[in-house]
Amino acid sequence: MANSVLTLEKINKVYGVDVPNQVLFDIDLSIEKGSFNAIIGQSGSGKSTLLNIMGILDKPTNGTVTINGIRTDQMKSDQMAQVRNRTLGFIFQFHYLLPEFSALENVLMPYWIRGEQVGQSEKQRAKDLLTRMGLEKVMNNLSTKMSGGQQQRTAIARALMNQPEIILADEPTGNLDSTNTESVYELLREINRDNGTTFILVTHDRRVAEMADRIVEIRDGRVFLDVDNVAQAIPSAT
Amino acid sequence: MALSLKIAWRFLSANKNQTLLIMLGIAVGVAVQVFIGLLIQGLQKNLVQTTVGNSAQVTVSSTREDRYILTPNDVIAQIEEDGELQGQLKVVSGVSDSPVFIKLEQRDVSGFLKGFDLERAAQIYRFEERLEGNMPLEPNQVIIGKVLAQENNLSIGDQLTLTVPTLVLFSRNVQVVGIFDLGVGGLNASWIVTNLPTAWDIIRRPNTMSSIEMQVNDVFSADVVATRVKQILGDGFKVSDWKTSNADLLTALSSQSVSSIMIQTFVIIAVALSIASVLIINVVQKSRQLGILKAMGIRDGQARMIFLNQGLLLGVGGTIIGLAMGIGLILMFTTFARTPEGSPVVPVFINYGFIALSSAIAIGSSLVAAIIPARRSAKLSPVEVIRNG
Repeated sequence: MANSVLTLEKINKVYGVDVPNQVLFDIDLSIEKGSFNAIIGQSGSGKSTLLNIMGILDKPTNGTVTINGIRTDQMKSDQMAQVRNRTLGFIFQFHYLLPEFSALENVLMPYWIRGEQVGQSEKQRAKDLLTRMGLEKVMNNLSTKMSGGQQQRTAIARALMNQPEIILADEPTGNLDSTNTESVYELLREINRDNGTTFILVTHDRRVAEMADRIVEIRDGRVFLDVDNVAQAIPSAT
Repeated sequence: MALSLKIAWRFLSANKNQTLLIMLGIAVGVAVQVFIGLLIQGLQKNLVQTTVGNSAQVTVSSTREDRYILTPNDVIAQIEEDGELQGQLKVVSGVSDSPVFIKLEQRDVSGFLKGFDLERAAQIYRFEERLEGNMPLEPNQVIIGKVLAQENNLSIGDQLTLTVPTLVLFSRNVQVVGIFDLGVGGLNASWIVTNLPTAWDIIRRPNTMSSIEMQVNDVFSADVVATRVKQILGDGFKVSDWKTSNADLLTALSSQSVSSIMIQTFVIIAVALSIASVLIINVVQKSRQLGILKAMGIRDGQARMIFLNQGLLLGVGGTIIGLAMGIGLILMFTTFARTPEGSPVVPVFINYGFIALSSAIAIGSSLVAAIIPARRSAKLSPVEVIRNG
């Protein structure tokens, strides 16, 4: 696909050597630039493994991952680190903030890792992101001094900091209540629309998946269903 | 501030008790090292000073049968003007000596007459600091050792008659103008010190010397200086040095140094092992953070640097505390451990070079100790952490 930002070809993943356990079977998937995708499936279906492989956090046993036209299996470790830092943004199920740093510092971290001087404009962007998440009052708190929902929203702001092309999210609202869940999704969609950021969301919640442009269902390590969500494809009338 | 240093700092300050404990561990190691090192150095310096600090360290004598150096001024000039010896010699001083009898009312006692170029010899023997009375500057004036004076009931102002054994028919009256204490029993019991003209007059050997004595700037290079002096003077002279004649003392000193180095080495190894084990545990403790940092794109090299920087920070912090403790201990030791006369049992020299070296070794060992944890952190796979929560 010409407009593809991330392509998986014949991805297999086997865990264990003595007792092999294959969790992914010949997955072919192509993610369109600027699209909002949901990967759904039962727990243990292999959807998180698939997301980790997409984010080059994990390596497939065989098959290739291509990001922006570059095959990741030929990348050196520093090159992969650079792709993770600049092209990808992660939001994990258990928020994973660094407890030694404040919310604002956690958001700035990807920019620090980038190795460039943090100027006023970057600091302002981090603050704006936190404000957008409704965290302006707690941005100088250590992450351990925030509620679960606040931590999760901080993690989302962090994923957006380097303005990545692709955001990979694993159950990003897994431990948020329904009001929070909805507002977070609205925010993600907004970013998707405004910045053209590609989103790949893993969720087991069908209601959440229904907000996406495309739904991919993984069952027993295989693509069971891959449909465009027509309802979402039509821009809202209002 | 580099990111890895910033993260290292946060990791350490987030866990203050653990950090403080490990720093104290390093500090105790450094303190022991500095304390033992400075103490042993002080002890050795003191011992060498007492043994050879106030005596000739290199001595030239003649191999002639009558053992006199006939042209002493030429010999002294040759030594002093030699290019290779420049800067190595503290003082070169000729001495004209001979055994003498001291005629007392009841009996004769034997002594050893030493005629010095007093100005030069003072730099070796420091008579002024160890003298009661005056220096024998005028003809026929002498100063005598404390033991000689006590045993024979002699005091300042007394007249003595001295006779050289080979010249029994000839004797000379001298006046005691001072009594010295060189701190060495043998010398205090026999030496009669005078100026060169008086000695020449008594011995009847004007303008000759029995030996030429030297002190060198670095006492431990006395043997090297002796070899060079022998080279310059050639045949006809015998050159001896304190190291050759005190081989046993040197063996004792070097075995003391070796045992001190052994103690210091094992202390440093213990310190390094404790840092390594704490940091290895720290990698496990921080594996969640490392996983997330790697997911955010931190390079393996940067991850490694976090732990090397932790080693560095622990090393520097521990060393600063340890230096304060070690120097404090040594100052306490010199302040409170004193002889009945009130001088320190072991006078301590604060050797800045040694302190700098100890600090460098401690910080270096901390860095080396951080290598294994650093490598582990570089190898850690982010997905392990993310998958296992």
